[in-house]
Amino acid sequence: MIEPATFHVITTELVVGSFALAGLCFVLHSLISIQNKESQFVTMMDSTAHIALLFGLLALPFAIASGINSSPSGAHTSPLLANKMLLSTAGGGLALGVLFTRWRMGNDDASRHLHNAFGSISTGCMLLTASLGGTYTRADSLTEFLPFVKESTLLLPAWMSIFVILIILAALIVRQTSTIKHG
Amino acid sequence: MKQKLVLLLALSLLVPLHVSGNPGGVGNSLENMQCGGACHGDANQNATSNLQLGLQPSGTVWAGQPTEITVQISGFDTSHDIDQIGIFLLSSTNANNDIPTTDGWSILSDGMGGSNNYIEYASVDSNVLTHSWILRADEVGEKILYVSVHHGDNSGTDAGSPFFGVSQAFEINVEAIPENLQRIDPEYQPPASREVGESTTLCLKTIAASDVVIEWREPSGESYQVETTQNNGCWNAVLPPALSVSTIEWRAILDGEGPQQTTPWFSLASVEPTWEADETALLLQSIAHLVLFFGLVLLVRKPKRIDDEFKDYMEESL
Repeated sequence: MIEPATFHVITTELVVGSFALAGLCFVLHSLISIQNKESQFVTMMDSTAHIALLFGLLALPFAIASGINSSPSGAHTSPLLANKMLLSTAGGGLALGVLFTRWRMGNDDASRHLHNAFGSISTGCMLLTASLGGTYTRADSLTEFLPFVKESTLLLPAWMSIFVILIILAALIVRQTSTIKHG
Repeated sequence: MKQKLVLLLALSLLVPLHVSGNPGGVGNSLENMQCGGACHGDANQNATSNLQLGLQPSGTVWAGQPTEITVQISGFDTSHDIDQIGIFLLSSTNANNDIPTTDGWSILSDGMGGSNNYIEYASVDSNVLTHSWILRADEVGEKILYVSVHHGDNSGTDAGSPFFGVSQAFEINVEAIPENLQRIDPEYQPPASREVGESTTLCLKTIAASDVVIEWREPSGESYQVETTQNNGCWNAVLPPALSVSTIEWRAILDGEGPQQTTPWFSLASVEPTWEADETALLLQSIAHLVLFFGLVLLVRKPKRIDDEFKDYMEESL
């Protein structure tokens, strides 16, 4: 039987690799499209970024679940682990949003760079999460210059988290009904 | 543009990065000699440490009784530039199942507030490093223990390599304890750590003891005696709270029919209160993050209206 820690390493490699490729392609997509919108690389980068993001997103739940299981005391016992969990879900939310908007709303020229920025920030969240993993297991990583992510975390009370969830869901529903009405 | 991009990517791959093993260590833990297949245990990568490794039990080792095992590592002279060192106490050199607990030992104290066979020193200030574990053997007979070290060294011909060293086998003869000799209950587990500001009430279970005195000492070496009271088969004594992160040591002096018995010094580390968040709140906040950032991406995008879609369709048809 494979141990959760070993499985976590495998899944995080998948997530980090996929998200890193996606992030690079999002940045290149913006840079190339500024130069030449008609370039074949624009389409290539766009497709690669979204497929890589989708692949990384598919591996993400396994990485989060195995990460929680491989910690003997749970993510709530260390600010570093709590930040890892919050960053990975933030990155996952962004990635999901990017994929969903690309699927449902298509490729809109006006918001192309904003879309790419969200994709890149999602990658940033994932890479920072992975880097914190390095800090946790090896006490060393490329983000040692960010001490606050190891020592403190911004925790909301449970009621506020529920409030945020409800607000966002309500906003999405209002926006959806408003679009249909005016369309 | 394309050529510049390729050149930039190629150059970025050539940028040398500072690469080292586990410069911050892996923390005190229960580890096999190969430490999970790390570089120090890999014969293709490591270099042999020339530190001298010794091991000595203090006095007779009785079955079922705590005994102090002192490890001595020497050779930290000026020819070495060692900062951090990891020390293993092992029962074999098989590289798996070699933690002493797999060979009938219990680790009562690792001297650093835990019960691990692997401990780390962040720095070594003298030529000789001495460290003690408190172990308990479960049965009479011959047992073998080894000491092993993992460290780096920034000097010498192998500077920068992961160094590995393992001692010779040290035989430990575990003897049966004489009948009616006053002793600690073989099941007794001494506390290894506590939080700063907390006092510790010891509940020491003994066999054939008529009186017990607890002695404890500060890190500076000054020692104090605490009287005990017997209650429900326990000898109770209260160790005072520590005001800062520190480690005190305590031992029990047992009187009875036989000659007075003194236990090894047990370490009791005082640590900062552990950080703990509400697990449910953290889980809810994680879900909130997912929903918030998902919603954010959707909400900042201009909605694509039905007339837009119709326009797109018409444009495509034309």
